[in-house]
Amino acid sequence: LSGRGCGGVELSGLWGRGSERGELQPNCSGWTCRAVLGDGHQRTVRRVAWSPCGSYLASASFDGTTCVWKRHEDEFECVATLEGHENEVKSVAWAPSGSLLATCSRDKSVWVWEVDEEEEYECVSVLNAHTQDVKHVVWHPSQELLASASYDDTVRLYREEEDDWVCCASLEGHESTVWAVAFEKGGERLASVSDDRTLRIWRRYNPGNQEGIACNGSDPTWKCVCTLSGYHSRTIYDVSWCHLTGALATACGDDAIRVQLHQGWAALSMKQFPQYPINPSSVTLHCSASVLRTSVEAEPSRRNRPRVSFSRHMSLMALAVFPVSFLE
Amino acid sequence: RAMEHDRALEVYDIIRTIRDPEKPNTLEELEVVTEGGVEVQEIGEDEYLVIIRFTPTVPHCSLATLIGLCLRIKLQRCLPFRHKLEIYISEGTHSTEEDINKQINDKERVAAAMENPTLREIVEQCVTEPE
Repeated sequence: LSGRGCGGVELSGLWGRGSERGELQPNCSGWTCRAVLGDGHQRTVRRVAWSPCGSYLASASFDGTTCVWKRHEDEFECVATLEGHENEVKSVAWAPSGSLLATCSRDKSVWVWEVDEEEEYECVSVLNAHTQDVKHVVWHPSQELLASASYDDTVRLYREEEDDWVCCASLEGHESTVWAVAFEKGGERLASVSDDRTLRIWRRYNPGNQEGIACNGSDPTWKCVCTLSGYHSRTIYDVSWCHLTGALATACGDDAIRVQLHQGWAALSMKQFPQYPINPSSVTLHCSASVLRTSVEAEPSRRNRPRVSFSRHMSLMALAVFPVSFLE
Repeated sequence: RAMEHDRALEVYDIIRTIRDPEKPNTLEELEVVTEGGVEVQEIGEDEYLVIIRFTPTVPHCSLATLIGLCLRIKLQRCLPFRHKLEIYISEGTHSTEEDINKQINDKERVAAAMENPTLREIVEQCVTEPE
């Protein structure tokens, strides 16, 4: 599925029918272009998202609108055009329940939309927590908790309270635009990536937690427990956390994809940089159990063996820096 | 190092003829860009990191971002070698330089700005070489 810059949405799908052979693209084995939704938007389509049930497709565009398309086999019918954002919509995401949609924009706001059985969409909240352009919105895998990433260097979390939505947390730490966030399968951790070239892992501490982290009323507190720096040499634009394997993948402006496998990090497409060597001597991984910090620096001479100082409160942390793994 | 120097000259050759959005002069004539403001580092096999520092003529925010946009667009189109580009306002020349630097290096903001017909027209006029 791809968004196209001239205003159209191009749809590709993998099907088992042989009669489609005439449409086969030479380089895409098995993939054929099934539909082109060219009339929905007037500007770049920035993001597309399938609904959890698979019957609907939402498309977010720089033209300020979000379209919802209903799928009838290979035909798509635009069943709603969500308007309201003042300028470019950057992201759209469906909640796991399928009845909520979130959008965000350069207008600094995050909108939550509700859809009823009659396929009617209604905006139920306009959230103005961010102070700059909002780049990405993503829902918690199982709860109605929303996360947003922004040009204001923060990640914000939102939940429903009575009849409205409120911002219940602000994750601060990144030193530049946060481009994307991803929840871990269980929803207790969040990964964020930024223009500051770091990947951060945030962990949720619920009220009454055994680590003794203070919480505000019934809201959990999120703390940054891991910062991976010195490993990505340019802006990191996207992150994806596999719910099946726990693997974390990052998309970086240095043309490389990096995947954290079970035991450590590997670069799938390697590039040599004079100032960012592949076996870096400057990768620092700051991880903490509760509020304590450990600094790890890779020493090239001690192959893959970090120098780690443990505090006696630390119960975790098997670390091997490049490859790197972090466990709690 | 010689390669990097040659590349820097290539870059400068492309940007010096860009016209200022307001004045009927090139960026070189107005000393908005200088040879010394172009830095090139080799970051891979035939790939270079290009860093440009420019000095806008007036401390007006929108003009500075416009110049940044012109620099980016022209290089995107004309630079023949693989590169990554960073553009900054020379330190100390602008009160909101951090804000401007952040905008002009945000590829999504740049792409969206170039879809604005008015802005695009201005940029086209600044970067297009006269026949």
